[in-house]
Amino acid sequence: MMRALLLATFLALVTTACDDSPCTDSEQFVVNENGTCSSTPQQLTISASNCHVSLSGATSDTGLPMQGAMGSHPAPLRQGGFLLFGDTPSFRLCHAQRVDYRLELSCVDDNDAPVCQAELTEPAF
Amino acid sequence: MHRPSTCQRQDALGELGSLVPLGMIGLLIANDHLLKFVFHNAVTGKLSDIAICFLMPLLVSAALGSIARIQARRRLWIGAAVTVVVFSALEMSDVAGAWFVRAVALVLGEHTVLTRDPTDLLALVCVPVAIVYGRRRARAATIGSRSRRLGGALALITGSLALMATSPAGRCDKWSPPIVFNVEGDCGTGGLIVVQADAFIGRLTITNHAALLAPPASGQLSVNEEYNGTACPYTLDQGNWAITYGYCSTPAYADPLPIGGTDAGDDASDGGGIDGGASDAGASDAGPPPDGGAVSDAGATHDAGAPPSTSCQSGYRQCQATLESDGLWFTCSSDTTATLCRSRLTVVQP
Repeated sequence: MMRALLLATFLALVTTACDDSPCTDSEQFVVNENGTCSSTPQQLTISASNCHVSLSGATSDTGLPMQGAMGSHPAPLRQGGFLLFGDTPSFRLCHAQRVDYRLELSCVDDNDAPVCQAELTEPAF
Repeated sequence: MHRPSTCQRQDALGELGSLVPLGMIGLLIANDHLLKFVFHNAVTGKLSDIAICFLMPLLVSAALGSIARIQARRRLWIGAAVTVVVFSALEMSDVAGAWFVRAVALVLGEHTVLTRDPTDLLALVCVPVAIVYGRRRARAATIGSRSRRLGGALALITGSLALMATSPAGRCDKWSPPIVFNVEGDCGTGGLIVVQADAFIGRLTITNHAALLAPPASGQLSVNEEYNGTACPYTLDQGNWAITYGYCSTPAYADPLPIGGTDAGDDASDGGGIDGGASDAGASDAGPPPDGGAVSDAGATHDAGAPPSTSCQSGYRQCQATLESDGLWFTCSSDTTATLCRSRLTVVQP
């Protein structure tokens, strides 16, 4: 009886638990990159884990920073609202925004001057 | 107050010396020091609270039984009341939280950070469960074995320490987004930077570091870049973050800051304020590297290279982001307290 009571209490509390971290789910999908950041259109993988964003699997230079993070209101990657930033070979900061059915990335340099724009779309199957 | 007899004292300990309290202590320790770091999810966020609310009435009761002749039932109710008051206060009161952090620092010598979530109060449901359990154990403890009493003593000691050392998964378990600043001033080259602080200890990652501050020189021994504020999520746009460099001040090694026309050129002669590190040590949250060593660590630091083969006199430079009346400023000073450079930081909205 006592054990059952303990177990029931434990389960009840755990199921009512809430989590402050809004980025507990990881996600990953393949996108096609078009635009002025990369010299040629290409395919790459975008993933998010613990509010951090990364690009991988590109066959040539994407012209985009390969790392980034969610903004102040984390959302699923497809909703945009994240940043990509890096300083190799030079500083570049890209804001991702969802426009219709694609992600638009606007990139600036360290003077906040526009450098390039990229469109990420999911390939049609 | 009557002192308890040896038998009564042993009985009080015997109430704790069974599998459930010992298991809860194991769970508390494992969750605080392992599971939270590995999984960091909703379950680990509540496990410690459940364990605390179950353990604390039993621990208080056993401790009371060891020092005073009080009936088990009354001890358990006192333990329950203490648990409800303390747990609720820590969850709801800033003052109580600050006192707890200070007490832990005094007793254990480590800085702890309380994270609050009103739903944690649901764990108080475990308090009546602990009373029911404790009363059953009190009846059984009178015929308990020696091993049970030893287990109780062990539970009392480790449980008390585990309760004090309970910790969140990190310093801040809420998402703190990176902040983009535009830097204008003479500490670095200027331009956009991105500043992020990690959830565990608030260590900063700065992208385009040179815009804020020149890259490390070869004489640099250690660097500590950390958010020192108490807010969670971090409020990097409100300042309270600092960069502290330890460096060799002997002529062979340059000052990491590229300051011209200030006292930077005096580094070789000012000995880097060799004693300043010690005397000013308490003046800053980030804390300058301690004095007098070839290699110094300012708390959690990441070394920027191997120390030179010959020993050097150490000095430090500290740069602090502070919110002033006219905005956020990044100010660097040396251990001789001179202002070396200032840059203005403006938040860039996407």
